[in-house]
Amino acid sequence: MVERFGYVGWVLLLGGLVGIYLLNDGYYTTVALLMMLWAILAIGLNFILGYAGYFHLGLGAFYGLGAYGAAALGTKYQMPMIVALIVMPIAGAILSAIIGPLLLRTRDLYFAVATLALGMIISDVTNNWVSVTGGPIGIGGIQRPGVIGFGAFSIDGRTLPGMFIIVSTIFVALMIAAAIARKSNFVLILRGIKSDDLMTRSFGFPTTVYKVAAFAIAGAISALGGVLYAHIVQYISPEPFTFFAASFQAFVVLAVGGLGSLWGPVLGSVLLTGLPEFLDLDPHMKLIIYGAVLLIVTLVLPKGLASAAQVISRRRKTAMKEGTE
Amino acid sequence: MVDALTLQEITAGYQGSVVLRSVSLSVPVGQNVAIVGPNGAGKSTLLKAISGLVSVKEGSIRINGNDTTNWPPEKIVSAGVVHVPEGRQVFPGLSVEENLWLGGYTKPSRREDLLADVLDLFPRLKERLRQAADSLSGGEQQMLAIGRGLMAEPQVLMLDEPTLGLAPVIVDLMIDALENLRSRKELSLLVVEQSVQLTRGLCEHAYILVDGKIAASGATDEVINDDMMKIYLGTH
Amino acid sequence: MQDLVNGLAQGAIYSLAGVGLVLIFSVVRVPNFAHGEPVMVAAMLPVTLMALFNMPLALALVLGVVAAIALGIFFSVAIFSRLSKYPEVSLLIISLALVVMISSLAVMFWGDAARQTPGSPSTVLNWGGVRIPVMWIIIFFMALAATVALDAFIRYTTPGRAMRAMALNPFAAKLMGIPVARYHALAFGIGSGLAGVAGALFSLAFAVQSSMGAAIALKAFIVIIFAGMGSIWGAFAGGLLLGLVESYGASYLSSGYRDTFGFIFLLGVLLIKPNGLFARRANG
Repeated sequence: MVERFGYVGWVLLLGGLVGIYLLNDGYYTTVALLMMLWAILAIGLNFILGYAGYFHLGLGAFYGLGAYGAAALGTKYQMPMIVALIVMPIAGAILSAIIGPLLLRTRDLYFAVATLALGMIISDVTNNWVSVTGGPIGIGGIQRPGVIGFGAFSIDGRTLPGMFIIVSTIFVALMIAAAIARKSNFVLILRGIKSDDLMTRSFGFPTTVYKVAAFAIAGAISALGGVLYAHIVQYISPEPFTFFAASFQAFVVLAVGGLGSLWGPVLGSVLLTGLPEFLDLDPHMKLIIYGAVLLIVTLVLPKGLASAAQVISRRRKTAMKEGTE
Repeated sequence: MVDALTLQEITAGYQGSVVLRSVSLSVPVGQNVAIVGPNGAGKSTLLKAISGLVSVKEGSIRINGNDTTNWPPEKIVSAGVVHVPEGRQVFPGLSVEENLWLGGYTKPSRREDLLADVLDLFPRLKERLRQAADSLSGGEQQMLAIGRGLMAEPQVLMLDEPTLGLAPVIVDLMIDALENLRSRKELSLLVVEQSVQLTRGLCEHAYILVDGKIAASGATDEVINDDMMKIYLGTH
Repeated sequence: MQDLVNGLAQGAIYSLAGVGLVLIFSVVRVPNFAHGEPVMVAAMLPVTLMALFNMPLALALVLGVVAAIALGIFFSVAIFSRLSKYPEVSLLIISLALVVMISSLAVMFWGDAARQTPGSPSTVLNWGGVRIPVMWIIIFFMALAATVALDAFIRYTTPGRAMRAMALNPFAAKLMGIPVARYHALAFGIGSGLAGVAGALFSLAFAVQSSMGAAIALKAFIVIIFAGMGSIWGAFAGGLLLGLVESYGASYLSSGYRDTFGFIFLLGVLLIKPNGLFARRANG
């Protein structure tokens, strides 16, 4: 049953992406790009929170790291996007791996507060270290990637549709990787850690290593998202990477979509990005709605939308069975 | 005369699960009742249902004839039923005296007298009045827990496994103290116990609880004998 | 030396907020990240009241604190007292959602400009070249007085002792006949009231803005994690220490990073001593 749902999901996803491309409307393309960015962050968060159960509230720090790194590589060193796409996730992973072991010693609540503090520290640094980050003014003039491919099969990254293809390709590849990872032993062990760390350890698994790995993956994927952000928007400042602007929203996206599910990030992102866009909400109003939605989800639907879909399909399946007997 | 405590067809449990099914029992005024049964039968849950910690889904609980089903815990205490939980649960870091003081929360005007009574009953506590509760031995903590319960001047004192984990010498002291309580005509004990010795000596009535249901009930001598124990508990 | 004075004044505010949060967290186990919102409300409301209703300063300040208390009681009654079975982390998330909602509302209502409540005594003492505004002295002593009062309340009054029992063993406390729901609200009310006093005092001496709640909450968390989630005087000392760390850091390193020092300090403490410096022994 979950397989069937998943099959439908891929069809919808690819169909949706192709549709947006063919529509060739700047507005819808931009919204779709935003949705993918949020989904990417949620996918990263899923590894440390959805599977391993650790409340990482500082994702914005790595998102920002990826973006600022891409900006530096792009403007100061004239590197093409592909370099940043490789370097920044690795940087995100390494930095996460360094601080991870220390952070992950603390239990749930303290870990959440510590990552919150981490995010705020990085926010402050991006605001104050003017010589490197440009302070509140930020860094502009980031170049889009150039023309890729040749002849009839070329994609012009400088145009919005071209950028859309590039980002979509990366996104789908990431989704495929996430789908494969889901079935892996690695994720299984993470789930074991979430369910009972001590017991998992007693089976001989070095749980700290796995936790750090999940933390590093979250950092790497967020940095990847940051690189894409920098090249899509072509201008960055400290604002989009704060707790309220990034970490909190990524959290809500995942919580609403469904912690630990494959399609949760996509569902949550589509709903939480699409709705405010089409309702043309004031950014403060948007945050209020996000907060309210999170409250409702935490209280009523703790497992998010993806599980609701499973429950509905399970009920329908039971009804069908009962109908035929 | 109305029973001090009556349960009628109680179905109760935790969120989403049912532990007790159609349980009925009564505790007459001034008489002691024992509840025995294998582990996991729901004995602790039964006490928690009475004291308001677990929600009752069906059935009714009456204290002195008044319906107290699903009342909040603090009202149950005021109504005269006090639950001394499993595992002592003293307030760590607070002294014996402070623990007892808190026990008398619902009877502020009677505290002095009640405290004197409790210290008479458990002289050991008198010696250790200022000592930190968690520095006491297991037996002394149990005495403290019972004394704390008595500070609320209950009509029904519910004890959950009062002799669990205690050395036989201490168990004897415990039984002596509980016997002393018999002289209090208005006080009934509802005791969940594994120790047959205690239940036989102390309680007039007994109920056997198995899998959340009452399997047998009656006068202690009839219920708690070798045959019954073999059938229901697989032991003596 | 000036740094010392600066640090103690700011620190006293953090102490007040921290002590309030210690009360809430130890009595009802809610990691209330929304604790900064009562601070903000009491900091922002007086100016509005004075402008709209021509209210005298004292009344406006009192109403600001009353609003803070009301907000705290609302948190308790409407939200957290119904969620006692939820894990602490979920409660943190819920309080984060509240922060987002309340501070966004505040920004929509008040804008995000910084302001200060006028009317504080303007006398500045000069002690060997060190500037000590009288307001700062008032702040310090009010924080001290509030902590003494709270300590006495917990030790010597019945509600205080009941709350202490709840902090030590919530299960047993219920069985003593202690009306837990009532004290849940009381803990939130007193804790948020202290936060409100912190906010009101802060607004008299320093600049405030509607988005200040989150940073203050994080600092209150810093204070109590430093103090170990149960010690009122530990929180008081922790607040002062945080103020000093920020003050000296801003002076010797860079003032833009003022907040950062506290956050780094917090990270440092958590990494070395995951349970805080003055951690109480865990319940048996």
